[in-house]
Amino acid sequence: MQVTTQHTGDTITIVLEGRFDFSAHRVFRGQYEASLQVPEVKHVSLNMAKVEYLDSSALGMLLLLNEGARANNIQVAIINCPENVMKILNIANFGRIFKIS
Amino acid sequence: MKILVADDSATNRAVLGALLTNMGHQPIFAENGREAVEVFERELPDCVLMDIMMPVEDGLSATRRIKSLSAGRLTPIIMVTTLDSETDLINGIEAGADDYFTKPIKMPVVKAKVRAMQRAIEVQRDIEQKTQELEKYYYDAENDMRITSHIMQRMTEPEKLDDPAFEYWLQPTAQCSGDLICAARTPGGVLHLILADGTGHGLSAAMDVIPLPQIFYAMTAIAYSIGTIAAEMNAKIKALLPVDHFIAATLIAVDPNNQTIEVWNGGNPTCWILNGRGELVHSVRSKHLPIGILEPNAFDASTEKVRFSAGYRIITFSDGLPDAGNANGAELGLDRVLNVFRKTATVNCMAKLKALVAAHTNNTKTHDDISVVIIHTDKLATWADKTSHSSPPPALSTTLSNGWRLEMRLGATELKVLDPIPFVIDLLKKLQVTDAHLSSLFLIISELFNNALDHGLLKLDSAIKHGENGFENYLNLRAERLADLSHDATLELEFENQISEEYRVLKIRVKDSGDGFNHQFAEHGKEHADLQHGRGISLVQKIADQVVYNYAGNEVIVSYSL
Repeated sequence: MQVTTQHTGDTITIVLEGRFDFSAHRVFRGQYEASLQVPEVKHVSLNMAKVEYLDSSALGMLLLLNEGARANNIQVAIINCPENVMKILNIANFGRIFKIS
Repeated sequence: MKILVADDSATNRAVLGALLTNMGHQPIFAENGREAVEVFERELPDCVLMDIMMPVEDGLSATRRIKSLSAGRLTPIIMVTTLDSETDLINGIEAGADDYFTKPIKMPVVKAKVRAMQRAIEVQRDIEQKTQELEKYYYDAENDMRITSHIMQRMTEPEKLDDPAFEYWLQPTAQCSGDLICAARTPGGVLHLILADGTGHGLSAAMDVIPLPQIFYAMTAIAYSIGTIAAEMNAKIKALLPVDHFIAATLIAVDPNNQTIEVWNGGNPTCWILNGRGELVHSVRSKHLPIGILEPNAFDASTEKVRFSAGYRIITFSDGLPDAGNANGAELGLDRVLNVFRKTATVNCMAKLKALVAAHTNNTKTHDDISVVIIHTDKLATWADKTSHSSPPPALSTTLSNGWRLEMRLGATELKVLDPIPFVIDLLKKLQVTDAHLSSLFLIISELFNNALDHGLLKLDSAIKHGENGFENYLNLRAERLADLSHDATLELEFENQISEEYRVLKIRVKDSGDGFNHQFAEHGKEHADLQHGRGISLVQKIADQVVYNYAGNEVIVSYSL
């Protein structure tokens, strides 16, 4: 999976592309850990528009991101979810933990 | 490095030997090809400098032999050839030489090439060592899997999975599965079942679900509700597992006495309830987060309850089933799975489902563990049937003392949050009341407690249950009234074990602070009272020795011989 990051003001947008599964662990973690360290950041947006596939390992990675974000008082939002991604996030009721659109 | 110098010229041997010693290596020598091979076998040098033209056996032949001897372990051979012999060069490389010098030998060239060979050897040795380590890890990992598999099987107690009320199918992708099914009956005959799916698959997923069976079986044995069991599992898993690990789970309770189905679904595909005609009458979608994510105080233990009648089936499965892919990666999908259940007669549906999956995936390995449970409500024997087969009471035990007594009084605050029944059942179990008695006692105690609470304190009318949407209305009204229960409401429970030479009797007393039903009882007789309280009291009277109400009707004492 490819991960790119954009920084605007107090928001960092992380764009994910491809298959979000266990093999994406290192790449994803590397990017978001760096993002959470940037001082003026208050919001992190995960742009899922180009995510083809999402499994339970990916959900686990989202939980890790959430834990790190909460420790630094940063809000996480998951945006531009395609239908199949939305379906999985709904079954897992992740809308209770993340702002999802 | 230990370097073998094979050359028939004594001068060459001396010169090369001196150079190598200067470089810090240890030279050993051979005068011809045959000796070279012998010395090689004996000394196992790291590198060989081989002259081609030698008597007895030439360099090419010796090279071939040495190469075949050192098959697994890289031992570079550098040949010494004459300047204008391309043939020598080609033959040398084909025989297995890794590099060559041309005569006359120049020392700087020898130095450089030997150094290059040394680097190559170091890389090779490094790879060999890593390969060995990898093989060891692989072996250890396979062993761990075997042990975990063994523990998993023991913990899920397969003998309890042969309850005739349900069928199940487990198809893991590998030796270890993150999918788990447990089932057991409460003392009251209610079937509890859990289908769990741990994050990922393989060893870590299997380990994730290991804590669940013990919690499930222990709590079911003393009749905790599935919502409470789910909450307990969540707390344990949240504490035990890392943040990114969680378990999707569906917990189901099917009560044959009250004809109800209760479901808690967090993260699994929708649980389907079909009626006797194969129509989908209810879907319990996942409306909770999977187990192990939320803090205990944020956990939602609420369940969905549905009444069932003849022919009802309950179907639940992990996402491995609808996600099963064919050769092109297309998923099986929920619709096709549902059609199997809609269109197939009860008796064949599991076989039909397996056939569908096999056909779709073309019998190739599926990507995720598959597990399916089908509960046939018709096959749940009712509690009444079970009692007729219960074993006769055991011989009198004289090990207990004069008799113990437990008394508890619960106020409004406690009644809103506490279910005291599991605690009492657990106590009786620890005091060595046998399972046969425990079932009867569970029924008696729950009946008396629920009557005291629902009718005595909350003043609910059983008749509500029978109207349209009656069941739901009853539950909603009960929740409302419980929340509004007045501060001075109390419910007393007393248990006393009375022993004499001839008998052992358990005396159970329940008293609520309500008005009692004295008037109805006195005016309309026993039949009316039964209608008000459901058939529960009749059943208690059948099982217990004596049932006595006080005048007001808000206190009852039951005697039960052990």
